[in-house]
Amino acid sequence: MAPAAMDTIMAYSTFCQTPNDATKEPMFFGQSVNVARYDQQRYQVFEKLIEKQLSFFWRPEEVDVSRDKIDYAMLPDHEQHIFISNLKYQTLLDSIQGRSPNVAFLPLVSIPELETWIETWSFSETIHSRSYTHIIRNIVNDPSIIFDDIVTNEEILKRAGDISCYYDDLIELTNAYNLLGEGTHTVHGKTLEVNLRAIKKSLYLCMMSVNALEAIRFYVSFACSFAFAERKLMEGNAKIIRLIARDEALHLNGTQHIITLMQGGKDDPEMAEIAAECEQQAYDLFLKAAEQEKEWAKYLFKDGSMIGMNENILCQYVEYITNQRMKSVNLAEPYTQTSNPLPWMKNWLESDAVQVAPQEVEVSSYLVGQIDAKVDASEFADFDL
Amino acid sequence: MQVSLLILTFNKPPIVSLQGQPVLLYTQQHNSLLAALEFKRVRIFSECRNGFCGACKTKLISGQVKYKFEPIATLAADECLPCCCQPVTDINLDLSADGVDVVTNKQTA
Repeated sequence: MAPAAMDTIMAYSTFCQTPNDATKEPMFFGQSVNVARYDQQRYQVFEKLIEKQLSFFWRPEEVDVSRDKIDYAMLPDHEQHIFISNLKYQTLLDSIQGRSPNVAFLPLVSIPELETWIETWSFSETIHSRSYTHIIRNIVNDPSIIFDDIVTNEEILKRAGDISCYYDDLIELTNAYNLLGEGTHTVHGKTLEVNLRAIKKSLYLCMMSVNALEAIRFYVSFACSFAFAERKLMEGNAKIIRLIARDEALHLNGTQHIITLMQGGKDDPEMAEIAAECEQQAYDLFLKAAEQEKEWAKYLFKDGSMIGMNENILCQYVEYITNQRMKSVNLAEPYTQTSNPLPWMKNWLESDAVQVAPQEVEVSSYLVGQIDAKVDASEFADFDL
Repeated sequence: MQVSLLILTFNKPPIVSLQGQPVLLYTQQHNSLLAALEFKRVRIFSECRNGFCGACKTKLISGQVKYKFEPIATLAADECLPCCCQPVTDINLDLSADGVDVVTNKQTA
């Protein structure tokens, strides 16, 4: 069976009835996936990612965050601001990630293993969103105060625009292409230049933007959460963030794979041309994300630093990981920061240290539906035998 | 009587060099190449330490490594993932030996 012609994509169908060999289709823009079969695969890495992600399954309710309420109440105002702002920002990021990969990428994907990976990936983001509600519900009496601010807080909105615009552009172009085909169209008073190459370019940049989101933006909040936990504060939250960070490392790896396959050209030669053409744009996009995160650090610490973490250290960390992440997707490294200013982060990001089953070890906050019995030696002081 | 050459070959632990500078002998006490490097205070970035984030990806200039399990991170032909591999021959990694305690050859030093 010949691969689907690359210059014409068929309008999306939920079950394309033309028989095809999915192992000869490119990742995107081939024939829409029909049979969800995994016995034969073009890129086995997506299958491995799916399996790993499934093995990581967890539910926020399994983590006891009740101690965090006490810790939170004792935090000084500026630390409460840091903690809450990060939660708001992460809520925004996962709100976007919980739906956008499905809406934007699924209509374009043409191999079953990647289709399922995208769904699995996005599903796990919805668990993250649910865990923020779990955390927030526990530390404040009225969660609305926090959630309602997300769509009005200027510092958060500044970032939201830059994250969602790549998805939105891609979705708009895909819709126009499916409905109207190639050409110049005026939709809602806006002129759109619709052609396959333009959509491919939009997809490539969108994938880069998602990679920057998962590789840089999330890690700023992770660093703050773990900085609290290093001081034995907000540990329930840190346990949840640790599970989220483990998932994000996997997602980040997934987008890195997609990007390197696109750049390689074996999957779709035109995509490799586009990747080369967009190198500067991709570089600028990463740099902008990193600079925005540094601005965010300034906002977080506007009223004061916390022990072990301040604006300066966080900015150095952003620069350091930005270099690492850009190197991974074959982009030049923009910063001079050559050493990791937060060496303790690796203790929190190490996935083996994440508890996998509640009964395995007695880690206080990982007890399902049980009372967390913190027993101190002093409790036995008046105990006679 | 014929004796296999393999039996006669002394099974020496692999030498790990950084940009040509020998830094350590890899023995079974080390859990992974990454742990061995960290023990020697080699500056190397790591995150998941389980083969899926790709943070510790390092260029292997020469030598061979084997994996405890197949990593998920993408690797080019000349790269290795120290968090889940161990050397099988002497290896030379593209990492800086700056600040690492090393044995220097007195005759040439």
